[in-house]
Amino acid sequence: MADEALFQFLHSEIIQYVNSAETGESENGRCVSKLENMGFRVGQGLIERFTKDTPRFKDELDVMKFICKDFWTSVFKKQIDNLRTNHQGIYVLQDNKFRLLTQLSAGKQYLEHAPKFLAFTCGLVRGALSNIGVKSIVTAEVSVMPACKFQVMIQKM
Amino acid sequence: MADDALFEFLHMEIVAHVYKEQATRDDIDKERVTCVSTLELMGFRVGQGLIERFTKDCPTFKDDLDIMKFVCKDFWSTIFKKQIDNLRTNHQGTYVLQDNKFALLTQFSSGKQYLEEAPKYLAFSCGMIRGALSNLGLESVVTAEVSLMPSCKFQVVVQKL
Repeated sequence: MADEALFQFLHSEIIQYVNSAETGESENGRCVSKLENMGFRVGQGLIERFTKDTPRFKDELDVMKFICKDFWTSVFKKQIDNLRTNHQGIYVLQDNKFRLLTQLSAGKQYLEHAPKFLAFTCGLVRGALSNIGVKSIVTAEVSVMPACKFQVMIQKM
Repeated sequence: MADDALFEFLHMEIVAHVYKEQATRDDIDKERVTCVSTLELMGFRVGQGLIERFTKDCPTFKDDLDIMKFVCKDFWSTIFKKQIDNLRTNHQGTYVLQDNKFALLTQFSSGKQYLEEAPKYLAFSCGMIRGALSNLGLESVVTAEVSLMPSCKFQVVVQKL
């Protein structure tokens, strides 16, 4: 319990810190980028530890399932609620109660602030996938708090 | 046994490949620098990943020296099948790791004949050390030198943040 709260509070503080360091409208993109890069680095390290003793993944879908179940549970204490794919390298992960958004008021009032609270996690997913050998672009969107959709687009190399 | 040989052969092939690829360009000295840098960055990335796995269940290190000892013993043994023979430090952030029979140099003829080729075969390992230390929170500059095959000294200068 303490560990979860620690991560959530630290995450909030980091967003606040990165935000306060950048002033003005045009700096918003840079904030998101900084947070995403932090997440990327953390994701790289975490996935090495989580997969230390697991057998090799048999395909991309297997990798994505691992992210949706084991990885998500370890980091956010619940599994992804829904995984969809077009079987051509695009995956949509839906979390109906995304942990890092549950502290924000439900509804539409704070929707515009959501991207800040998703950037770190987008980076986390991209970093994790990168270290398993899957290059990707990860974006996220929220239409109703605290539900969130992460779209993962895998790059063919 | 097979695992050791596999890594050694793969390492040789990568070194040869990076140099061959670069040889189709012009400037010979610039070529050497680029090759060493490319190999070092590969090593950095591998070191980052390896150290996460090796330290997954370890308790936290108590200081820089404790980290260096881990690298000299556990990390080195896992990768090169022996411990570092000697670790020296000035207690101000500089460490010298001496391996008297460095695994990636033992395939060379002993003596001085191939000394000038040695840097190619050390760059990956320098990067690996730097990557491992980086993921343990230490930023460093790692260089290596050989005066007599197959003995090698790695100098690690830890950067103060």
